[in-house]
This record gives sequence, C-alpha cells and structure tokens, in this order.
Amino acid sequence: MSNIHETLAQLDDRLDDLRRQVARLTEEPAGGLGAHRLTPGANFSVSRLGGGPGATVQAPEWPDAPEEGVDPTLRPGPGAEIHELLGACERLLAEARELMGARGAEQARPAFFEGMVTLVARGADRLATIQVLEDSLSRAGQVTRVYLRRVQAGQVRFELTLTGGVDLVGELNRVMPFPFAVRSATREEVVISLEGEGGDL
Amino acid sequence: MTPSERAALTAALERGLPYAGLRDLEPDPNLLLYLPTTMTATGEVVPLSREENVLELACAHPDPDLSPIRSRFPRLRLEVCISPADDVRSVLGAMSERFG
Repeated sequence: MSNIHETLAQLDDRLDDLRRQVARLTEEPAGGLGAHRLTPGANFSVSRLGGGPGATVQAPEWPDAPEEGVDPTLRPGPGAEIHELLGACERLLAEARELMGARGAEQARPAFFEGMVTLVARGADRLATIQVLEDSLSRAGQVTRVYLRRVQAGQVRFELTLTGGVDLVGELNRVMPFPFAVRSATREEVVISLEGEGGDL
Repeated sequence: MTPSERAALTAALERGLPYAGLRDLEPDPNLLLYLPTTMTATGEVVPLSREENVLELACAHPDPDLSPIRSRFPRLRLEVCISPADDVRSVLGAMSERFG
C-alpha cells in the first residue's frame, strides 16, 4: 500500500509539473511554442498501481521537421500534447484512488471476531436450508452457541457466541456446504449471500 | 433447533410470515397494556415492540384472533411474527412478573 501512496504522490507532482508547463505555454507568445517539448520524464509508468500491461502513459512522438505533404499548421502543437497527457493523468489518478478506496474497505473487514456476532444470510428461504446453515455454523471453530433469531423475506439472522478470536470468514469457508459471498463484515455483524442454493433439500 | 422452534419456523415459512426467536428477549412490560387479559391468559401472543403506531406481536400460531386488540386500538397497525410456543409463554410470564 505504501508503494501506491508513493506512486500517487509522484503522479500528483508530475501533474502539477505538467500544469505549470501548460500555464507557461499559454503565457508566452505563439512564436515560443516550438521551443517547448515535453521533458524526458513525461514517460512514466503507473503499472505498479495494478493497471497491468499497457498502463504506461507515453507522450506521442512528433517529428522535429515537418513531413512532406503534411500541412504543419494542422499538426497539434505541444499544448495539445500536454492536454492529452493531463487527461490521461487525471483518469489514471481517479482509477488509482478508486482502487485504493476498494482496498481500504477490504482492509476494514476485521480478521478475527469474538463475543456475540450476528450472521445474516441472504437467500435462505427454506426450512432445510436454514437447518443446514444452523448445523454448519455449530461446527465452526470456537462457536459455542448458534441461535436463530429471525427469519424474514429470505433473510436469516443467526446469533453466534464465539470464544476467543476466531477467523470467522475462514471458518465459514471451512464449514459452509453452500457457495456464498461475504457482502459486508463488521465486528458485530457479518452479512453473506448464498449463491446458487437451489437444490431440493 | 428444538421441536418447538422447528414447528414455529415451519409454520412461518409456510404462511410467509416472519419468524422470531425470543430467547433472552426482555420486551418492555408496559406493552402488556395493549394485550387484553383474555389474550394474556391464553399465552399465545406476546407484544414485542411498539414503534410509532406499529405494534409487533409474536404469536405461537399463525392465525391468532387479534380482533380484541384491533377493536380497542383501531389506529394501531399490527405486525405478526411466529415464535416458538415455549418462547412466547416464557417471555409473557417474565413480562407479567415485571409488570406486577
């Protein structure tokens, strides 16, 4: 996670630098535009952010001399080049921040649970399913009591009494006979949804 | 799951009603004010909560006769859930004791 922070900081610095270059370009007379080129540092990689292959931003290369048959006045100037890069930077930063937000939410999920924890299971609307759930939960490590508190509209609420710190999600993975997904988890409540629980139990 | 719990859960699922386990639950004893004494005596219905004008009742059977409550408190909306008969009697007894 610190690598991401460092890379984001570098990207922010680079973005500021590009903004300054754009500002200077707009302040100088038109004749001076040709002298401005992107600095060598314009090619930077954000692959460490998890963007995968192709996540490298590269400034397009323009020939120093006009090509034959090409009207030089139609060629985008360095300002357009920088604007394009700025746009790419903004998009990458937004994606990186989104990625960090998702990772932060994942990290907020507690690893260990203890005491009284409510387990809410969505997608359980049959007696046999609820009974199997109850039996399975009673087989989870350090679960001393499983109590069915509420069933309503396909949502089942169990109260689990745990002794000591338990990797509850790990235990659920171990004992649950149905595929499930963890929707949310706090110290007091874990919400799961049963997936594909469609047998004839 | 006890036989009483299983029976209540089965009835709730069959009738499409909510199920509520009442173990360790201590509803406000003042809620007994909404329950006519005739209903308290049968031990099949216990009030669980009142929020705004909604009174939640736990019933041991899916078809309780709630007309005495409806006629006395016509502005109350009654929400019914099914609970194990043992739980209903136990909670009702504890509430009555605290109510005096």
